[in-house]
Amino acid sequence: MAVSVSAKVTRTGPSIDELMTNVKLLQALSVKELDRLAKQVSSDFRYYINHSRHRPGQYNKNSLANAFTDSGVVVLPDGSVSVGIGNIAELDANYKYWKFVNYGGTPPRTMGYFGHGEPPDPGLAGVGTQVFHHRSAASAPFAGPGGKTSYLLTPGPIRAMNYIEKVTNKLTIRWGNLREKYFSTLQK
Amino acid sequence: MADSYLRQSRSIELSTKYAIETAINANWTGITTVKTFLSAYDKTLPVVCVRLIDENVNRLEISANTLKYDYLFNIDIFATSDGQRLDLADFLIDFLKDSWVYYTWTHKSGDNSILEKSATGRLAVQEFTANHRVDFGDTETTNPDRFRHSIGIRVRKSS
Repeated sequence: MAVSVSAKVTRTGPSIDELMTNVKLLQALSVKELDRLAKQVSSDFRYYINHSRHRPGQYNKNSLANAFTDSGVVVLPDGSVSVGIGNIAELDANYKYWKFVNYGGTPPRTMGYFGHGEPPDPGLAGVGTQVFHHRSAASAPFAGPGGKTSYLLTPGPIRAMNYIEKVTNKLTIRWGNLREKYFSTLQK
Repeated sequence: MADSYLRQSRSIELSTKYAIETAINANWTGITTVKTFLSAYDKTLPVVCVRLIDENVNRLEISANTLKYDYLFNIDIFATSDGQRLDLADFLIDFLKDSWVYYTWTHKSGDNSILEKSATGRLAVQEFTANHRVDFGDTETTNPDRFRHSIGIRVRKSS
């Protein structure tokens, strides 16, 4: 004997359309949040470098602290989002000392000349009235018009600032907070 | 009788340095372990430098007064060869993964020349944040930075 059974499934919660709307909303939010996160990380670099420097009076807008700018959020074709902070090629080219400031160590001597390349005046030692013209191997000659080459040497190893590690540590916290916020949004 | 004690951060730094130094001395010879970066340059290589470089403090739960601490350590290896650098890095990671003893360090009031310790917990790695060679390019053979290695760990104390 055939028995006819009917069942009614009642589901609760948001509809598929509502879920899709939420996903789109989260994606838009994540781009915005990632952009904000990138700016915070960039700011963290400035903070850690500026607060650990030994000569805090000498601020310069072209200093290492300002070199870690964010590239802006890029939405890739597969829908994922990406953002870059700082550029290693640019750091290597313009801030050769970035590794030594971060990891500490003894940098190699810097070659170039003071003023117009005249022999140094011992009376000016430590006064710093002449500009040092750095010359890399690619931009030789190392001597100025006066024919004198000078070397800049650090008096000892540079203390490790570890600004990259500290920023990464801070980023881990910020990322964790962001994830927590999004999970709680999804659960609502 | 010891009557002053070091606070948690200092105790964690000392405990970690002590654990690493003890493990190295039990398995290697001629390696110095130091706690401050610049003192690594005063010693004969190879040197291992263990430093607490940053801390995270947060509430364990909303509205609770219990705090959650994470400690960021950097371990710098100043080796005499590339092979030694790699061997030491692997040894340290293998040691650190198993956790180590946390000691509360105490000293006589007004005299911290002698420290005493008592085991009061354990420290464990939450995350290995870095493990790489620090390459400064061409460095002179006498430069202590020639075979540098950096290990980063985030550490938490057992409650």
